[in-house]
Amino acid sequence: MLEVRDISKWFGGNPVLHDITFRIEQGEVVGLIGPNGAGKTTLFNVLSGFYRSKTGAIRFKGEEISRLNPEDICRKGLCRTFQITKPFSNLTVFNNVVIGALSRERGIRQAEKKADEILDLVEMTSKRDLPGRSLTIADRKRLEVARALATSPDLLLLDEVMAGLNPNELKGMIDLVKRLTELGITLFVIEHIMTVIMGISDRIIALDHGELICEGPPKKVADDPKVLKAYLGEDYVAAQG
Amino acid sequence: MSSTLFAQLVISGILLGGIYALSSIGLTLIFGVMKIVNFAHGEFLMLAMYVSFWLFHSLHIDPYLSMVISVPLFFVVGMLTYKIFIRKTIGAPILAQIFVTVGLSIIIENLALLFWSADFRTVSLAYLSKPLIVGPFPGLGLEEIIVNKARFIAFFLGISLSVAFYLFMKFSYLGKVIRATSQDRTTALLMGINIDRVYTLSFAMGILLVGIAGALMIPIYTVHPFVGFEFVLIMFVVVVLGGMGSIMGAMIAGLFIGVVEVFSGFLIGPESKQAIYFLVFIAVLVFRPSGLFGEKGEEELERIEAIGE
Amino acid sequence: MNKGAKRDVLILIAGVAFFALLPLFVKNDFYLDGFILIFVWGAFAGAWNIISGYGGMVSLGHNAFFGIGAYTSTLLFLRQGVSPWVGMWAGAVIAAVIGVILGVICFRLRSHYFALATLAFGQVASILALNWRGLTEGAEGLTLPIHPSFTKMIFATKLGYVYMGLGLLIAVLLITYFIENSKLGYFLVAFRENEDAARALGVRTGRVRLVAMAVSSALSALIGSFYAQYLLYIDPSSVIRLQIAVQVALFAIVGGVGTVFGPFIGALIFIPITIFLRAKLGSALPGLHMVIYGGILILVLFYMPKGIYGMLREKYFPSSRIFK
Repeated sequence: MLEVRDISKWFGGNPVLHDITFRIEQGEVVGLIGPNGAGKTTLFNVLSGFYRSKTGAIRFKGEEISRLNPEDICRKGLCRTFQITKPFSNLTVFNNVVIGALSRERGIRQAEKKADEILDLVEMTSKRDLPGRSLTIADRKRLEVARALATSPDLLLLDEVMAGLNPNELKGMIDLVKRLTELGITLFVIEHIMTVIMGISDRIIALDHGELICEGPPKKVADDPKVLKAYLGEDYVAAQG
Repeated sequence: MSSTLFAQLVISGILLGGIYALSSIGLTLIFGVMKIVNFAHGEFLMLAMYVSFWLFHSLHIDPYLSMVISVPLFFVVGMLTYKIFIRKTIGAPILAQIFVTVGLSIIIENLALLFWSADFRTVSLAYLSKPLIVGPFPGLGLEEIIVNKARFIAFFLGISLSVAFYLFMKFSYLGKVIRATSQDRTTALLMGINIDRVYTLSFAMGILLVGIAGALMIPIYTVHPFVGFEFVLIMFVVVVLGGMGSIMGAMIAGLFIGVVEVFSGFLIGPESKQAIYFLVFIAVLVFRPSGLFGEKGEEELERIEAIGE
Repeated sequence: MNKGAKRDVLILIAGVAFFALLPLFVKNDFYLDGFILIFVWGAFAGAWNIISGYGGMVSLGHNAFFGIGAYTSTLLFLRQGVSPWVGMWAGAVIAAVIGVILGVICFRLRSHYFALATLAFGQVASILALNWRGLTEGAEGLTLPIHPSFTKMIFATKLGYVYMGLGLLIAVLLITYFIENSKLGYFLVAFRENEDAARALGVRTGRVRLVAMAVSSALSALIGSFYAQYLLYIDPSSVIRLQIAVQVALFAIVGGVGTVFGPFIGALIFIPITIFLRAKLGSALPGLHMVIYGGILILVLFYMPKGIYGMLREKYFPSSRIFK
């Protein structure tokens, strides 16, 4: 589904991503973890076309996409959500989703039909006619997912859609993510909450200081000393011996 | 072109540029700190010219002395303008940010027209009437160079005040607070800086600076209600060229535009010169939105902030 | 069609009928002139609204497109004998091409920077009109000979201009309505609301804005041509000075940006004020009407940011699909 080879990104003189290489297979749920500033969102920005990598290649469904714009990448079936949610504040939840659907659907009517289906799927039908600005954090995150879903993605990049939710909301979001996998959508997920990411991912990729430090099944990554070091510091790892 | 003529043009250009620099600094300060383009800046300059004109005309106060009155006056005008109009536009949609000051400029311009009519008014000072003759400098191969006294004074005071203001911004506590706020509003807020007060003071200082510029310009230019519009366009060019928000940039760009204007006026005629520098202006906006002399990367930083991490 | 939409259509038909029939009963040229100006400025503000209202790209350079229309049709007629009916389309094409070029160059600029760049563009156009004397006769302007004839788009009575103006206005309103209810409108609004989110959802924000810019500038030029035919005399100050760009923006903002009828409502309010003040005061208090314009503009921005029609629509006309 997605093949990433040797991509790098600098801001000024600082490498934020350095020679990142990995693959994501059809139907997988891959988690992306790493401490703050590790480069997770930057990686999403590169994959979704908001940043350009000066090196390497990104192949999506066998096609080179590293030179494409975000809008064209989305139309190829790779869609992302934003960690800092970006609802269209003055439009209703429904029309937020309609706009997502429009890039794939032929006309407004078809897009509206699709939007209603999606609102049903993400259980937001009751908020259908509220303006985007009036939503709670949890609903904003849900709207991010709903809109992205409306673009009929094959691969969906979820950027911290569970951050800042209360336990109840969190459970709802986990259910939603599971439903997405049942629909056959491949997921690449940034998440801070370890138990959650371990639970939903088939495989995990860990970043630290822009480097890919570990990759594998959740259990293996969780026990990897480099990951522990990145999260907890040298001393902790040494003390655990 | 003889070397004397060349030197004459350069000197005229630099003298002109000093005026542009001083009047643009306020505009760039206001943009840098509160990210608002003050479309009414030219109209405040026009008001300042009128103030000095009327003080001279009715009370016989020398325009250079009138600064003693216009400086505090325009500081207060700036403060009130901020509190009544500008404050409401901070964080408002772009339409409000642009058109509130556009509306202000329409109101001020036409009030001036109502009260003072469209007549052209000038202040001529006897002691300035004879130009300074510099030279000849046989060693440099230059003949006599003519320097307009009023322009020389305006340049000298304008540049000194600009430099003083630059130093003030760089080293004084208030200057540091203002610069901190313009770099990162949120962090400044977290550091306990009273943003609203910084904005009030910055706007007031920006307007105060055109108060000074007005007094320096009235012995040189005629004042009429539409004079602000003529100058504000040049100020935009200077500010964009210097990098929006950069005081040093505005000073350099002011001098640069002064020289460009004098040369292009001489070489291709006064009518087309404006068109030329507006085209330069668009080119700079497009290819180097941070300005020719501004710091790089502001645009990119904004992008990074917008999409996270 | 739901009940609300039905009522809207009825109101619309009544409105069109009102403006179509009323001029027949008005015998006074002074008032007919008022109608024509309302239609011209309402239509022009509507054209501006397409890119700046729906698309959120605030242009301060639309005077250039208006002027391009006025000068193109007038010059083609005076120099080549081309009928203004053809010339106006030539102007529209030129304006659209220039609009698209301006868009390609300047759309990467954000908010204030774009406004400043278009301001400079409009100013360059007006300087050219003033100084390219070989083409435009500069400040002396161009005069169209008064020989009423339909093929020359010169009407014998004001009524002819009234109906042509009304036709243009209705065309602009229909186009705007069509845009608002099409992908183009949804995408423009998405861009205006949040560019990054729009792009992430597959909205080709560049292309969408270029289309809007082309439509907006072409319509502005068409209206400019018509205005020239009405005045029968054009000079830089009547068709291309910067104040024109500010004025259309002002009408649209007060009426309601990003709405079908807002810009027209703006013109409907402001033009009578202007005419009334001019008639009452003559040249006694020059600039008074502009002071009032500026005051209303600021008040609306502060207390009614959606504009007059924007507020009405929220309360009484919830039938628009995208704005509920």
